[in-house]
Amino acid sequence: MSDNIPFTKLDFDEIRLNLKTYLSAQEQFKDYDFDGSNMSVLLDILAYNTFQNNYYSNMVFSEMFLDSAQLRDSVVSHAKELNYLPRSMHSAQSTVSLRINAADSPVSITVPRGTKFKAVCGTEVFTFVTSDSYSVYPNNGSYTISGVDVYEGKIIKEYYTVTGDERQEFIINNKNVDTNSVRVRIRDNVDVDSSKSEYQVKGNIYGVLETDEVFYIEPASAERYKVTFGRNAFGYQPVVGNVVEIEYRVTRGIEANGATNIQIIDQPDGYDAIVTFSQKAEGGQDVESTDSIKFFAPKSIQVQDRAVNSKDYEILLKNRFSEISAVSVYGGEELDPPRFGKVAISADVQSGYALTSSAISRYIEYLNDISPLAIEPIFVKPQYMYANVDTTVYYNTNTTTSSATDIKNDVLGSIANFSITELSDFNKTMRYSHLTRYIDDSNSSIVSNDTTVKAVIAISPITGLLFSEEIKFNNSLILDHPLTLGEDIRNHDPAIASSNIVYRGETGYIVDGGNGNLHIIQTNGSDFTFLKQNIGTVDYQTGRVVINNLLIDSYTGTDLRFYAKLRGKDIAAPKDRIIKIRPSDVTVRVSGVRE
Amino acid sequence: MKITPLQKKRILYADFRKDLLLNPVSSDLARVTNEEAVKDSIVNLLLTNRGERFFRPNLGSDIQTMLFENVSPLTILSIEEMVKSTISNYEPRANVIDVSVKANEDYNDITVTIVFNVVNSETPITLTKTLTRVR
Repeated sequence: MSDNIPFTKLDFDEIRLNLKTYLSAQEQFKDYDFDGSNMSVLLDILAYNTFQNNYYSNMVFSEMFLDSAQLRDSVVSHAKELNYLPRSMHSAQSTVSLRINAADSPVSITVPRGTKFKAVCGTEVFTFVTSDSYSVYPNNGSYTISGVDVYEGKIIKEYYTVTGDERQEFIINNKNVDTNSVRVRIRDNVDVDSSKSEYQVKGNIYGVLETDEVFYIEPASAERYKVTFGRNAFGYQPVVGNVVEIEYRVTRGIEANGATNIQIIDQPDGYDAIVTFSQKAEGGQDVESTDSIKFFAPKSIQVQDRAVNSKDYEILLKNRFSEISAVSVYGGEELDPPRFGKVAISADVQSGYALTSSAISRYIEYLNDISPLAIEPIFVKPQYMYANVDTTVYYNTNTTTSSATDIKNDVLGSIANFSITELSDFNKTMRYSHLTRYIDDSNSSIVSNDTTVKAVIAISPITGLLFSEEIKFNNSLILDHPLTLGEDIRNHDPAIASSNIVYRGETGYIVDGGNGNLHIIQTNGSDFTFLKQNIGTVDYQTGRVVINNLLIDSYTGTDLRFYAKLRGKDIAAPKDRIIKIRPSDVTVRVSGVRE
Repeated sequence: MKITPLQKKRILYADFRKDLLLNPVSSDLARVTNEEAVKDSIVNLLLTNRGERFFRPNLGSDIQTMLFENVSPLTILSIEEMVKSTISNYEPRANVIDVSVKANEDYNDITVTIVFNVVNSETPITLTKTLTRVR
């Protein structure tokens, strides 16, 4: 007879079997294993109770560790131990300009914080608000203000009277809060006219004195956040009778991305205003997922909220500002000319538009607090390398009802997806085989594709002035035979060729002559003439292109593009460039075959 | 007269009572044995609705749901079949000899009479149970 019941099993049936095995050794009750017996009822209850305890213990232990926790509150609690603040929802943002019509010529007009705008995304109308107030003064009789940042959402206020209870929590009750927008004011008492002071948000306690008027944002239960104070150790603690006024913006996150047609609702100082904007609203984010918190919280503690090496900058910036899609960080000594004591940051944002000055200000303000002394972060414009894709796609007309246009659109969409998924970042390599696979997979009827890819770097020289430029493709180029006058230009396949330029009134383009020199030529069918020879050099091994003291009248399009024919089919972008495929650089031809 | 010890009846099956009564002499749980234990077991099975026991969804019978049906020969037949299948599935100690169901329409109940013998015993045992709607 065994006196021990093994409790290692977790399933109901196994537990019940263990109990039966134990009872089978007992003399008193012999029909323990018949389903209808009273003993069986008792056995079921015991097994169920054991099962419930097992389940409970399993869940408790599972929730005790960040890796295995499943409940969001548990994950957030573990992240809190690592001083990690899970990302809240973020408002989509746009920057607008206002032209205010004020016939009575006031001294100034104020656009207050919280001024409402509306914008349309699809069929939905979203409310946008300003997060700061702006003053505008007349300039030649007109009132124009640019760089007004507007954020999707509505402003909400909550009030708490301090009770003195240490357990009192100042919860931000709306789950859709954008924590970047939280402002806290402490009022002396419940009288709304009593004096109030604005507290500053802090992400950590470094350098905070006991008298500093600061507040912290911490995660609370049920996807909410709460405001805490320094308890007179890491910041001044409001006293009994004070009123904590929490103002924040609630947002709909990613839903407002792409909102356009922005119009003002509130009239500043009662005047009509006309809104102009150059970019759609972007940067809206949903609340951070549980899996993301599990991933980033340990990384956050590795960085320790300190930007020391380049990876620190990348992690901190990407984590704090969700709109940043790519970051490259390097020392200022690598800049041309070198800028010692600086750290150069090049960032790309998801909207695809250039970084706004207000965004850069926010990034620098954030980095100043976490960068080492004497290191000044500066933002440099991100450089790009593009891939020019020319593809002919063959599809089986017997296996699809799609038209050639449908196939073409599928291919264009697939290439755009490839650019987003596999490129669009620093230190990326465009893998030719991956690209052709994306093209093949874009439609089930596609049987093959014939694709050529060239690297493109675009520059924007000032026309009418001498300029010099150094372009580094950082890839070996395919050298063609030396170009000689009188030969058929169509037989010359240059390693470097540019888009069209106008040089001294003549339209031509820049090519390499196959001998390491760059020339400007003009073509006419199979003939060509040199408009100017030896304007620069090409290193076919490194892909370095140098243009010396060139003056051009103009160039076609928004930029002057240099196309490089690379030796390898894969294109590795130089470390300071983001590689992308622009829709304007893609040519797709579709040909139907019957198989 | 020669006094011989009573031949103790062999206990094949034993169970404790549903009401957990104690043996007044030993203060242990009182036991029901052999035929009585099997009878208790059959009654338990008939009164257990399917899905009532944790993790054992098929155990029991649905006789109680039949109490709300209109009384007809078909209903009576269904109940008889339910009783037989429940016992054959979950009470292997009993061999069912006969099942009869009598409906008492005026009292809203049915009386089930089961004649069975316990395995390893030829003695027929009759179990009569009246099932009443509780609402």
